[in-house]
Amino acid sequence: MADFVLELDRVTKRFGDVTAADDLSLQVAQGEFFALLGPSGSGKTTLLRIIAGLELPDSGRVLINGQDVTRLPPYARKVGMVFQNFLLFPHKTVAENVVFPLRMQGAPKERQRERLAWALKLLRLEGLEDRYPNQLSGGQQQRVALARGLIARPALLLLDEPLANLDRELRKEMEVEVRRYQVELTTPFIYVTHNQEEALTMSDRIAVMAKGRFEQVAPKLEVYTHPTSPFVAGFVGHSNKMSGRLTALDGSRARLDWQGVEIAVPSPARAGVGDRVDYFVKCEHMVLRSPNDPPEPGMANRVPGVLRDVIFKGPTADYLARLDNGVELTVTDAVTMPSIRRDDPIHVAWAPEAGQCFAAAG
Amino acid sequence: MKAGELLARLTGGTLLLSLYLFLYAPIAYVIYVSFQKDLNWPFPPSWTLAHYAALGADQTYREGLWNSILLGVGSAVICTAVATMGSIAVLKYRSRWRALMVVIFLCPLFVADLLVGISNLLFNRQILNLPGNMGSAMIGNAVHCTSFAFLIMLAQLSRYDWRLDDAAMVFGARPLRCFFEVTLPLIWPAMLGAFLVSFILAFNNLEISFYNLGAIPTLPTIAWGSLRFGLGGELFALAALVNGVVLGAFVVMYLLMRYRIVSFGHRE
Amino acid sequence: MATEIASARGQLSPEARFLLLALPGALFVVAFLILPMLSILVFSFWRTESYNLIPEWNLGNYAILFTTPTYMTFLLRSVLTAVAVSVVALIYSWPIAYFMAKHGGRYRLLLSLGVAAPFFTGVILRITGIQGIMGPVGLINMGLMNFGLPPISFLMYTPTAAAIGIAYLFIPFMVTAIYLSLLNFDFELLEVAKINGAKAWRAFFEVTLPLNWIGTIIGLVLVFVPALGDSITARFLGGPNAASFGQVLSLQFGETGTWALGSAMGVVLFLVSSFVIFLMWRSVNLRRSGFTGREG
Repeated sequence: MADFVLELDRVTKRFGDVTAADDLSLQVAQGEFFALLGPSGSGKTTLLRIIAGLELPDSGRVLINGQDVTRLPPYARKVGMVFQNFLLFPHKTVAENVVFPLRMQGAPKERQRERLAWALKLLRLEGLEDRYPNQLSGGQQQRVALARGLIARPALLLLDEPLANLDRELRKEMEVEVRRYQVELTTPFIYVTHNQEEALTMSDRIAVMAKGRFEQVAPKLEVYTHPTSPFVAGFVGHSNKMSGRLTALDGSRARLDWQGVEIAVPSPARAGVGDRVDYFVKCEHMVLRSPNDPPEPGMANRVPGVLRDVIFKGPTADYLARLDNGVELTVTDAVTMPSIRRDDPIHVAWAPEAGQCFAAAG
Repeated sequence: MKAGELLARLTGGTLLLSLYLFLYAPIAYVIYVSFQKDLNWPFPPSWTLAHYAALGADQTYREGLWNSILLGVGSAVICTAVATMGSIAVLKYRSRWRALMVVIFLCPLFVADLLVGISNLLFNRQILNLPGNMGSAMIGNAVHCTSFAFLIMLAQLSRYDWRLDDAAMVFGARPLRCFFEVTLPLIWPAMLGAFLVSFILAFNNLEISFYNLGAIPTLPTIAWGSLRFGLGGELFALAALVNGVVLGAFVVMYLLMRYRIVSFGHRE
Repeated sequence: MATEIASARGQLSPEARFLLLALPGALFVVAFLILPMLSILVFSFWRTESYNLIPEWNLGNYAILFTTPTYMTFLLRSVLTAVAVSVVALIYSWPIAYFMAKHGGRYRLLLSLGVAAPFFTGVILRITGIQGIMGPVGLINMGLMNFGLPPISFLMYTPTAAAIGIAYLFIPFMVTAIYLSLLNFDFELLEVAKINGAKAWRAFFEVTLPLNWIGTIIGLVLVFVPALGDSITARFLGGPNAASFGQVLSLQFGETGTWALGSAMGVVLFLVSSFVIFLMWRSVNLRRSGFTGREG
C-alpha cells in the first residue's frame, strides 16, 4: 500500500472575513507533479504556505509522509521551496546559496560537498559557484533556486509561480526542464500557478482553485476535456460561454434558448425546464463554414452569422464570428479558410456533447 | 519661462551658500582662533599651540572625555538594540498593535530633552529612590536617542525583503539562526548608522546628562562650566578638535557611501 | 479573530513574535519617558519644602505660574521666539532644501551631509562658535570696534541674539527633513502642472507643498519643540531681559530647589508643545500628502 507523501485533511484558513482555504483535503503521491491552478486570490499560495509551515491553518491537518506536521515550524519540515522572486540570499554566492539547506541541517562537510556537486551538475550551474545572484541572468537565478530547493532531497518540492518573472521564451524552455527534473527525481512537486498553459504542460494532476475551494481535482486531461464545474469550464482552455433557459429536457439531451437561438446541449445536472444554465464549448471544438457547405456529421448545432475578424496565431487562427442573435463566438481552427473574408456570411457548427452544461449559479 | 527659472535657481543657490556660510563661519573662525594668541582680536595672526597644550594638561577635560565616551557607548548600545528589535517587529509582522508601537517609539521626539532630563531626575529620586549615576544617564539618553535610531533603522530596513526570512526558515534555519545568517549581514550598515548617531547624540547631550549624572562630569558639562566664565582658549581648542573629529568622520562616511563600500548588497 | 499562540513545539504566531520583539523597546520608552512624565504631572500638584517634595496636593504651583506676570512673560517670550524661529526656518529652509534636491545632482550627498555635520559637535561648542562670531568680544563686534564703529547692540545679550542662536542650532533639522521628503518627490509632476497652465508659485502651492507637507511638518516639529524648551542658548546669548521659560525651569532644579514648581512648569511646557504638535497633526491629511499607503 503506497503511503501518500502529502496529505491535507480539511485544512481551513481565514484572514479576517476572507476564507483563503475552505475545508480542503488532498493527497499527493510519490512521483506526482501536482499543480494548484487558479486566479489570484483563489487561495493557492496560502495553501502552499500552509504546507511549507509559513502559515498556521485555523483547523485541519497537514501530514508529510504520514507525520502530522501541522504545528511544526517550517525549519522542522523536510520540504524544499522555490519562490516567485527566487529569493536567493544576495550576500551569498551561488554555492553558498545552494548548500544552505544542508548547512542548516548540520550535514557533515563531506556530504555537503558531494550534494553540492550533484546539484550544480544537475542544474547545469558548474562554473558559476562563486558568482553572486545579482551577477546572474533570470534563468540562471531560477536554476540556483531550484538547486537550493532540491539539494537536501526533500520529501516535497513546493513551487510558487517560479516562472512568472521569466520572459516568454525562457519560460517555455524552463517548463520542459522543470518537468524533466521532477520525472528524474520522482520527488513530488506541488506547483502553484495562475497560468493554465503551464499547468497543462507540466503537471500530472491539477487542482483548480477558486475562492479557497477546490473546484476540481483530477488528471490534467480530464480537467481539460471534462470540467465538472462552470468555473473550471471557463477558466481552463479557451471556451465560448452560452447562457440561457432550458426549453426542453429529454434524457441526456436538452434544448437551450440561447438569445433567441435554439441549440442542443447535454442535460445539465440539477436543472429542469425553465431553469437558467451555462453552456461551455471549447473554441477548438467549433468549426466555421460558409453557408453553402454541407452540414458536418454529428454537429447538430449550426448557427448562422457573419465573420468579424481573424486573429492569426501560427498553427491555428481564432475566427471571431458575430452571430445573427447578436452574440459573438470564437472559433479556433486550422488556417485553411482563405476564401472566407470579413463580413462574409458563415455558419458556426459544433457537436452538442463537445461542451458542458451546468445549472447557472444563483 | 527661462528667466524665472534662472532667478529661482539663483535664489536657491545663494540661500544654500548663505546657509553654509552661516553654519561654517563660526566653525572656521573657532578653528582659526584656537591657534591664535590673542583670542579677542586675532589679527594679524600670531600662531600658537598654547591652548591645545592647556587643554591636554587639564585633567578635568580628560575625565569628561572618558565619561562622555562611556555614556555614548552605553546609550548607543541600548538604543540600537531597542530600535533594531522594534523596527524589525514593525516591518516584518502584521499586527493590530503596529501603529501604536510606532507612536510609542516616536514619542521621545516630541519631548524637549530638558523635560526628559528633569522628569527622569525626579522619577528616579522620588519613586525609584535612586541617585543620579551613569546608568540612569545612559538610560535617559537612550530613550531620547531611540527615536532617531528607530527612524534610521526603519528607513533602511524598509528596503529589506522580508521574504528572505521565509526562504531561510523553509530551508531549516531557526529564527535566531536566520537573523544571524541572513538578516544581520544585510542590515548591519543600518545598525552601524543608528549606533553612530545615537553615540554622538548621547556624547554631546547636555540637559539629560546634566540632571542625571550628579557630580560625574561629561565633556559637554565641563564645556558648559567653562563657557560660564567666558570664552577661553581651552574652549576654543576643544571646539576645534571636536569639529575636526566630526568633520573627519563625516568625510569618511561620505567616502564610504560615495564609493559604495558600504552598501546593502541587495536590490537597488 | 485573535490568533492564538501555539504552544506545541515552539511555533509562535506572527502576533506573538511581533510582541516579543517590540515590547521590550516599547516598555523601555514607557518606563523611562512616559512614566517619568506622568510623575512630574503628579509632582506639579505637590509642594516643595527644603529641597524635598511633600505630597500635599494643591494648586499653588499653577497659581504662581498663572498669576505672577513674570512667569507668563517667560512663557510667552519662549513661545513667540519658538514660533518666530520656526517660521523663519521654514521660509529659509524650503528654497535651500528644494535647490539641494532638485539641482544638487552628484553633490546631493555631500551637500546634505554638510548641512547635518555641524549638529554633531554638540550644543555647547556650537554656542561657543556663535559667541565667537556674534558675541560682545566676537568677530563682528571686535571688527567693528577696530574700525572705530560702534558694536551692533542687538547681537549682544538680547532676545534676538538668542533667537539667532536657536536658529543656528536647529535649522539643519528643518533643511534635512524637507530635503529627505523631496527626495521621494517626483519633480515631473511639476511639468504636468505647468502643461496644465499652473505658473511657478501656483504649482508650488498646489503640488509641491501638499505632497511634501508631512516632511515640512516633521521639520517644524523638530525645530519648534527644542526651541520652546531651550534654556542654554538663552542663558548664554540672551541677556537678563531674554530669559526663556526653559531657562527659568532649569533654575527650579538648580539653585532654588523648588521642584514642585519646576514640575508644574514642565507640565505647562509639555502641554504647549503637545498643543502645537496636535495642531500640526490635524493639518496633515494623509491622502492629500500623496500617501498611497503600504501593505498592512
